[in-house]
Amino acid sequence: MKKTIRTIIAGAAALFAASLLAGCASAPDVRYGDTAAHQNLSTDFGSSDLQQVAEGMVDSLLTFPPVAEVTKQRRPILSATRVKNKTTQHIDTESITDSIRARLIKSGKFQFIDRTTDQEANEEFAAQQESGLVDPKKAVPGGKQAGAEYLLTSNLSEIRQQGGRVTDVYYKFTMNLKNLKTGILEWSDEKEIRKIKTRGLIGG
Amino acid sequence: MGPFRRGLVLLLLLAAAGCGTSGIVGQGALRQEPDSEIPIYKRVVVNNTSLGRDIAVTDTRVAQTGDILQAAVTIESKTGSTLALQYKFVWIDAKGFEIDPGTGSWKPLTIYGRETRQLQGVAPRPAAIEFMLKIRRDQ
Repeated sequence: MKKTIRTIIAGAAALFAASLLAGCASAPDVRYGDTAAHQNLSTDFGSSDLQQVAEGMVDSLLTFPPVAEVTKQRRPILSATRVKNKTTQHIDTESITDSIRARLIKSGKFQFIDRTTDQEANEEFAAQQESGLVDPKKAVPGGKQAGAEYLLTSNLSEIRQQGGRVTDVYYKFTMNLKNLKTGILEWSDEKEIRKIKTRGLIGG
Repeated sequence: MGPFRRGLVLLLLLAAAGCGTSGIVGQGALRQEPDSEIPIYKRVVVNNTSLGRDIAVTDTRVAQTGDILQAAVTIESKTGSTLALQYKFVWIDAKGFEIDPGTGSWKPLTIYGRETRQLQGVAPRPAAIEFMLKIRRDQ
């Protein structure tokens, strides 16, 4: 009788352990997240920082009175250079420029020259002009492209301080709009972000 | 009246049951009636007892720079503690469609005890004639 009870208890324990193991081996929790949500997982420059910077710069440029005065009449042509990354982190700065450029184009107030696709454009021109496949009357003529009137330049810098369990990171994103004809900086603005991380007493 | 036109302003404070929902929603609209001075009308309904106890919307303004709508909402902390919040502006066109839904980010907002802060937003394009401001506690 005792042996039977022991067998039952051992069986139940084995079943319980198996169920625990099965739980551990179950599928990980994967779900879609809100792209607009503000998430602070570390002091690194993250997606919500990128969105804040892009929105802040576009808002500032759209509402700067001299710029608003010009864009009310016509859509100036801009060219954006890659963001100078002066931080210690690897940041896809082209993504920041892309976000700012996309928002500015969607505002309907600016037009952009994209120099990053010039090689592909040249290949297409060559195909149209030299391959003999394209009707010369319908081929896009060369030397007719517009030139940028303004240049958007930007810097991202970082000041990192650490004391005890606290890490304080200050980011500063600066953007300038330079008039290529006159060399004058027509607009400039900064966006600051500060992130503070306090490590727990145990672990990281 | 120049580029700045006052408009009908409507404020709604709504409830938030979960972390993912907005604690407070404030709305404002710009009506294209340049010849008449439209009085600013405000209505405040507080449904969220928790967030409604901690902050209050005290003023809402709309204006235009060029043809871009700008909004400013003043909120006041009614508590002595520092509050960690998030806010987001949503823009609506003349047909009632939200402009670029889901693209605006939640911005962090730290408001100290009894502090008054003005939150400003700029419409992404001239089509916007109304805005909505959403405020929630930091997750």
